[in-house]
Order: sequence, then structure tokens, then C-alpha cells
Amino acid sequence: MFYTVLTVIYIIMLVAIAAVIVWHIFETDSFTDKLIGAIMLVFLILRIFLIK
Amino acid sequence: MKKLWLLLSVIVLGFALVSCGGDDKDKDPNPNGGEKQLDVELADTFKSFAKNKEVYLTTVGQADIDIVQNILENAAGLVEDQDFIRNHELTADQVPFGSVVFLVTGTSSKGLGAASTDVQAEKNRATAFVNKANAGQISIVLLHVGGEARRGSLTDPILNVACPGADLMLVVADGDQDNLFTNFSKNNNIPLYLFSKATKMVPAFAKLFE
Amino acid sequence: MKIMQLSKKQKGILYSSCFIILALVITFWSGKNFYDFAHYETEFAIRENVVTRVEKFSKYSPRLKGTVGDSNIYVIEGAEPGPSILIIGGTHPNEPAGQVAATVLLENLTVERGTVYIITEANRSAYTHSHPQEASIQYFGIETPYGVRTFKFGSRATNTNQQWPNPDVYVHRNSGQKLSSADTRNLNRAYPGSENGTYTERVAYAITECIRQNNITITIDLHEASPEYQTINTIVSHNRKEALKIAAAATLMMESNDVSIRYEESPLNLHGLTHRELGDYTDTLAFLLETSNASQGKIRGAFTEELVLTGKDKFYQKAMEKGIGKILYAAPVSLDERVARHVYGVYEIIQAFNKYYGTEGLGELKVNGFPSYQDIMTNGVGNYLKEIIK
Repeated sequence: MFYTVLTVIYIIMLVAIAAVIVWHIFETDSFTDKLIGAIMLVFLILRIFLIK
Repeated sequence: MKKLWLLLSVIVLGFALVSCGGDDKDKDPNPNGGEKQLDVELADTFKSFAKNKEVYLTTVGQADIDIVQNILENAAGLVEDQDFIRNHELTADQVPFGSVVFLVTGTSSKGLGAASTDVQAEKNRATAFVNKANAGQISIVLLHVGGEARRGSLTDPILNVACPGADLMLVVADGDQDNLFTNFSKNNNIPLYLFSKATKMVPAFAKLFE
Repeated sequence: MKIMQLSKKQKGILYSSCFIILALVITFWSGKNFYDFAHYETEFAIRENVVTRVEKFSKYSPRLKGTVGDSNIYVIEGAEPGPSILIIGGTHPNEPAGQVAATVLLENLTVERGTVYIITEANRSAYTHSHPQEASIQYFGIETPYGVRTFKFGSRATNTNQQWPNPDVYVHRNSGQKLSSADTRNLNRAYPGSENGTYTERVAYAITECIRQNNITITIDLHEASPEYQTINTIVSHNRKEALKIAAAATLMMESNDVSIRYEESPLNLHGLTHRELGDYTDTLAFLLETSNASQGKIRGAFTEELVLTGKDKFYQKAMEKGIGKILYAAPVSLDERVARHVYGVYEIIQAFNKYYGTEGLGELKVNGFPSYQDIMTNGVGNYLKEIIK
């Protein structure tokens, strides 16, 4: 139960971070920031689905 | 010039003194020949060397004792506790006068081995055996069967202490790549027999108990 | 609408959308790859007329039921009762010779007297992922007369999907020994295990209970290590007198047949390993066999299937030529040779057991069908992998 709760909290945090990154990709004018954000998104989405 | 001739004369006299005398054993310090010959038959002087004596099997380095025990049991038909005493922590004061000690050398370079070897303690044990052997109270047959894998910073300090006190050294040749045993043999006049592998020592063991 | 006619804001939205779509494509592509790898089931040829039954880890550790770590234990019973042996392969899925050797034994051995237990995937969780930053291969194939047999190349440790979070310091449950966090998920530091412990401890518990409940006489755990590791080509034995006697005898026999090997006693103060804990907590005679695996080493270059199968690596070659690192046994060491060593090691341990203890207690363990060391070296290990009949 403890580990399930911890995992759910972890995934919620990841979803929140992913949302912020998506917002930042649209918000920033920097090409580099958009690229880095996209790369981070790959890892975050994989982690959200617990794929490794 | 005079001093040079004097020095040379002293050296030659020194060699003469060293090569005189000796003891009742006709030792051949280099039975393997000028080149390293392997698996040479043990000299007849060692025939029955350990027969009818109290025999002890121990290790300084806490490795490979079971290998040597296996050879002892198979080559000479010995039975533990009846024909020999095995004790991996044997001390020199436990060995009575006239005994033959089979001293197995070699330490795991990874620190594996019973209770992680205390090198200083092993050196102290080896020193005690050597002192007793040098006093003529016991004989030591030194063994190194683990090859190159049983050499290194843990094993070599123990070898430096134990080898000079041996009456006979039986060594797997892979462990003598740097001629450590060969040099001990030459410098201390100790017969050294090199073998291609541990199982080739079987005839030598058999001869020691013939 | 041409891109040049878009406003700055619209261009920004367009570029951002392209990046996110690209990220999603890459995520889907890599995610599918990882997912397929995690769910790929390695096949083994189970001879129905030879294998008596297939048990599950959950029989001995119920909390594993329905989870990925609920591995198979293949049981081959002889016509006569007698002593038994457990062969463990796949404890570390990045050590392929362990699994492949166990597979060869599973697919070739017949038992006349006694019982043989074989595990080919001891840590199935570790087979669902690979070690980060190693850039390891995912699969390797062995040519057989029936086509290519595919095996997985996994990680040394349990997947964090099954065991997370993990402490910074791993305290071994029974001894209190402290090790690095990485060893929390190392099956070979988890013995004797715990029924309600971490995931890895539950897996270890299953194996320990299998040994205890079946009173298994001999246990052999098959492993590999990097060429620079000093304990390769070694039989590590529990300190029990009988085990040491067997290990020494097996070592001498292998050596006399020109298979270079030595034996080590299990260190008393290193806990969690099979050769320590299984010998301490059960009556089994515990052994662990190590061979040399270049793909585990730190000197290696590119991680390829060829490296795993042949052991050939130009950087190890250079290191040996220059005397860098104490590499005791000349590389390259092929998978054929590593599997041959393991198979031959198991054979000689059984022979030594029968020689010294076959006339007492349960008598001899009579097992046939071992491919010889020379045969595997000559014909290749693939020749001893049987056809999988679906």
C-alpha cells in the first residue's frame, strides 16, 4: 500500500513537471529551450508509464 | 690493481667456503636444470622423506589447503587424523620435534578466503615455522599450487618469509613467472621442483611417503 | 497559409508543436522497444518425457505469484530416489553463460538416480530491463541446427519497477552488513531472503525455501565476471568441510584435463551470496562458478552481440599486450568456452560428490547427458540447444 501511494505521488509529480515543460516549450522563444524541453519530455513520458 | 686482486681473491674464497661442507642431504638446488624443466621426478634423496614421521598440513595465506590435502590423500593414501593432521591455523609450537610440515602458500588476491586473511598474522606463523626449521627441529615442504593467481601483494610478503626456511619447494610453474621461487632456491640452496599443474605433483608426493 | 506569412507567435506555436510531436514519436518508438524487450519471453525446450514437473517460485514465496519474478523451476526426477542438485542460471542477466549453461543442462540431462532442479531465469525482473549507461545489447542469438535461439541480455539488478524506492545504504537483513544501494536489487546479495522483504529478498527466499523444503544436497550458482576481476575461472565453495573437499577434487580433475580453474573458500564476512548464505541457512553444499565475460569489463569498447558471443575486443587485446590490468586468463573467451566450463564444472562437482559421499546417506547422484567440454568447444554450444516444439 505504502509503495503504491508513493508511486502514485511520483507519477503525479512527473505529470505536473511534464505539463510545465509543455507550457514552457510553447511560451519560450528560445529554439534551444524548445529542443531541450522536447528531449526531457521523452524521458518524462516514459517514466510516467513506468517504461524503462 | 692490488686491491682489485685482493677483492677477487676474497670473492673466490667466499664461494669456496659456501660450496664446502653441507649437511647429510645431497641437495640439488636446481633439479629442473638450467632451463625451467617441469614435472621432473623427485630426487631419490627425498624418497621416504615424510614416511614414519608426524605429518602436519597447514596453510600460510589461508588458500588451497584442500587441493594439497586431496593430493596427499590420493597420492600417498593418507587418511586425515590417522596419518596427518590438518589444521589451517596450526602454530609452530604445536608441532613436535622431527615432524614434517606441508606448508601451503598462497592468498586470495581478492581477500577471499576464510575470515579474510590477516597477512601479518600469517607472516608471524610462517616465521615461527621457519625458525623451528632453521633450528633443525622440523622439516618444511613448501607448496604453491595456485599459480599466478596466488601471487601478489598479499601472498609475496608471506613467501619472502616462508621460502628461505623450506627443505623442499614444490611449485606450479605459473606461479614462478618472475622467478621468485627460482631465486629463493638458488640463493638459499633449497631444492625447487616446478610442475605444469598441481596434479603433476602426485608422483612427488607418493615418493615422499614411499 | 505559408509559414513566412505567419506571425511570430504563430510560428512559435508551430515550431513548439513540431518539437512535441517529434518527442511523442521518439517516446512511442523507444517506449515500444523497451516494452517489447520487457515482455519478451525467452523460450526453452522442455522435454516432456524427461522433465517431471515445472514448479514456480511462488510455491515457496507466495507473494511472488502473478508477478514478473515468479520464475520456473524445472524438476527432473530419476527413476530411483537419491541426492539432489539445484543449478541456478540467470541470477545476473548480464552474465549470459550462466543462463545458457543452465539451458544446455535443462535440454540435455537425464537422471537415473536422484533429482535435478534447474532454474534458467533466477531473477526474471532483471531480465525486463538493462543497466543504464552501459549501452548493452538487448538480445543475442545462438546458431543451432534448428535456427537461431534468442536469449535476452538483461541487467544485473532487479527492475526498479518491481522494487522502489531503495535506500542509499543496503543493510543485509540477517547479518547487518552494509553495502552500496546498488546491491539492494542484487539477488546475489539478498540470500537467504525474506518472505515479506523487498522484491529481491522475496525471490531469494523462494530459492532458499526450495532448497530447504526439498532438502537439496548440492546447489551450484552459475556466474560470470569481467576479465580483470580476480575471481574468474573459479569455484567458490561454502566452508563446510564436505563442500571444500568436493571443490578441491573438482578443481584438480578439471585442471588435469587442461581446464584451468582454481577454488576459493567463501569469505565469512561477505554476506548475501549463495555460497555463503545457502550453506549457512540450509544443509546444501553450496558452490558458485565464475567465468570470464568481456562484456562486463570496463576496458571493453563497443557493446555488440559479437562481444558477448566471442569475447573479442580490441581494447582488451591492447590491454593484455601492454600489461594493463591484471588479466589472469587470456582473452578472448568465447561463450562456447564459458558455457563449456560451467557444464564441465557441474559435472565434476557431481563426480566428486559421488566419489567421496556416494556410499553414505542418500547414495550416488546419477545424472547423464552432459556434453563434454571438448564437444562444446568443438561443435559450439548451439549444437546442444534442442528444438523448441510448440
